[in-house]
Amino acid sequence: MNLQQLIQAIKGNSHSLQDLAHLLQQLQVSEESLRNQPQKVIDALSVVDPSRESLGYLFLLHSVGSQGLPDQGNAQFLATASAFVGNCEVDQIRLAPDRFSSLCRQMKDHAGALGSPKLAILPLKIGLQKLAPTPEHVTPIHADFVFSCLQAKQYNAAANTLQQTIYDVEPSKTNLKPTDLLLYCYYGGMIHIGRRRYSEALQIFLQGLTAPTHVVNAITVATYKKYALVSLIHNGSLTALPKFTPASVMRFIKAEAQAYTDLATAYTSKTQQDLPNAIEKHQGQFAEDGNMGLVKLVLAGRTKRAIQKLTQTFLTLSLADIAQQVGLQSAAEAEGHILRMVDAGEIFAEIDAAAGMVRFLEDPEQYTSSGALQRLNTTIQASFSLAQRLQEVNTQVSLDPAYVSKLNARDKGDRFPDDPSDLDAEPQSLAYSFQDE
Amino acid sequence: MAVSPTQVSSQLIAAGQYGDVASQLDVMELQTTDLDQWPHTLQLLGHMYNGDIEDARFAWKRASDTHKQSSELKAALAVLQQLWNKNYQGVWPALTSFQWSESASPLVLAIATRQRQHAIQLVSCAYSSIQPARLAALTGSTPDEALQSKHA
Repeated sequence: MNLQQLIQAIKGNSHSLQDLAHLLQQLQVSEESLRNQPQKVIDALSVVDPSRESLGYLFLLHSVGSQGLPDQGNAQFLATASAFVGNCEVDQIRLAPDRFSSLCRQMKDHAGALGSPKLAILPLKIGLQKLAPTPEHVTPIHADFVFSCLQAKQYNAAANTLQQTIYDVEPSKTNLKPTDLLLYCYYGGMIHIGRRRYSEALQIFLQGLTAPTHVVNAITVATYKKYALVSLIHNGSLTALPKFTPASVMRFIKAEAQAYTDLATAYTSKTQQDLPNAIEKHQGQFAEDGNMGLVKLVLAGRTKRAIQKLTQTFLTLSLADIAQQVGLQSAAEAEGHILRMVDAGEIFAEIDAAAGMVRFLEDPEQYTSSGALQRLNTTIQASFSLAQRLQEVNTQVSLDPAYVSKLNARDKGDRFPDDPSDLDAEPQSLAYSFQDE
Repeated sequence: MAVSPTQVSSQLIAAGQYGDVASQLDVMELQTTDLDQWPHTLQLLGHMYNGDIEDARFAWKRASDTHKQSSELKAALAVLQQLWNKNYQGVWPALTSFQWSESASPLVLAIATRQRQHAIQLVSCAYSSIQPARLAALTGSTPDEALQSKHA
């Protein structure tokens, strides 16, 4: 059908779900021809209503964007697309998640090419909210959104979105590819690192590292490297990856991230010089990975760890002794460190300036205040809802037809076969296998 | 835009809503490419007032090289650096040695007040005994004032 007819179809069939399904097919078939007449399509955009004929508008706009990215980007396209994302009807665009997320990617590219990546931030945020079936779903737009925030140095613009825990992926509804999830976790972690929220960074990095997979992505390797460094900075040791991390990831790490494992070993070593030596030895690798900044933070964090270790052995210690034990220049420097650590809640101590002594204290938290009880209550509630969510997923899986049929196939091997010719069949050959699909 | 960012922030400051300056400016910044007259200093100070030192640092990074030459922005950066390093003593000269503009002064004063309260609280839980001179240095006051506030 030609463009005029297509516009008629858009105008006529954008009202009921049935019509829209039909329209979707027509649009998909016409995409090729749309690509051959870019100027006419641009003109057509002015007669189609983005808020009521969103599906048609989406395909038209997307084909304009598919023409390729000019070196300087196209401000007009970006402005039109941004307005569309704000005005489009959610139900319509959800019928074509692949085109919608692709359009958002085009917007991110254009904003970058224009030298103003921040222009994509607000539209992409609206876009991901519209495409995701629930706020707990992740979409390809999530990755592009966080990337734009990174590029534009608007780190806190991503804060609210990153705070939302992701529980669901539904590629059929969001067109999510594995790399999109991995990129979201990697970029998200980088945002957290920039804002010095290290425990959030570790959490989101872990989500990327433990995503089920058979092959290892370069993104996963990069994620692990940053995870290792942040773990050293925040926890003082390289926390081992959980048991449910894919085996392929574990193997790859042993091979690819040797420099980082060395660093972790040197960090906890008793010999002071081991850590600077390890850093110098692997400096090239760290620099190539873009991680020198984090490595320096790891080194700086060692003083803090050393002081914390002292609290395990001593009840009181003089400031001069602390300085000497930990390798600082003066008692005053030690006092400064202690003060900062008390401020950050990393240590409980009392400085007796008159005597030049520090008394290390226990955590004064008795968990009897109403605030503490409230925190405990919130955590318990969160555990309950997580357990419930797990139960629901468990039920879903056990009702899944594919799972049930495999379960039956396995059982067949264990029972005494009704058909005598089955006597030869080994139980193992009918056993449930994970590698099937 | 109908209202300029400088106007918006000035209104907020005049109303004593120091906590909202940074968030308003952040949102407006996302929607405009014309940053010639952008109140970078107020944005920086606004984030520092909220204790969002990292966000303040990125706000500074986003400023153009021309803006970074402004003496007031440089002064705000000096305060930021002290706060970033948790240099409780160093922050006071940084806050008081510069002649702040009329629009920035109230915000700087608010930051100083907050910093002083924070320092007093920190000292009361981290020190069992402290010299008056040290207390004064940490709270940005003279030794006599410091003794007064300790009793308060």
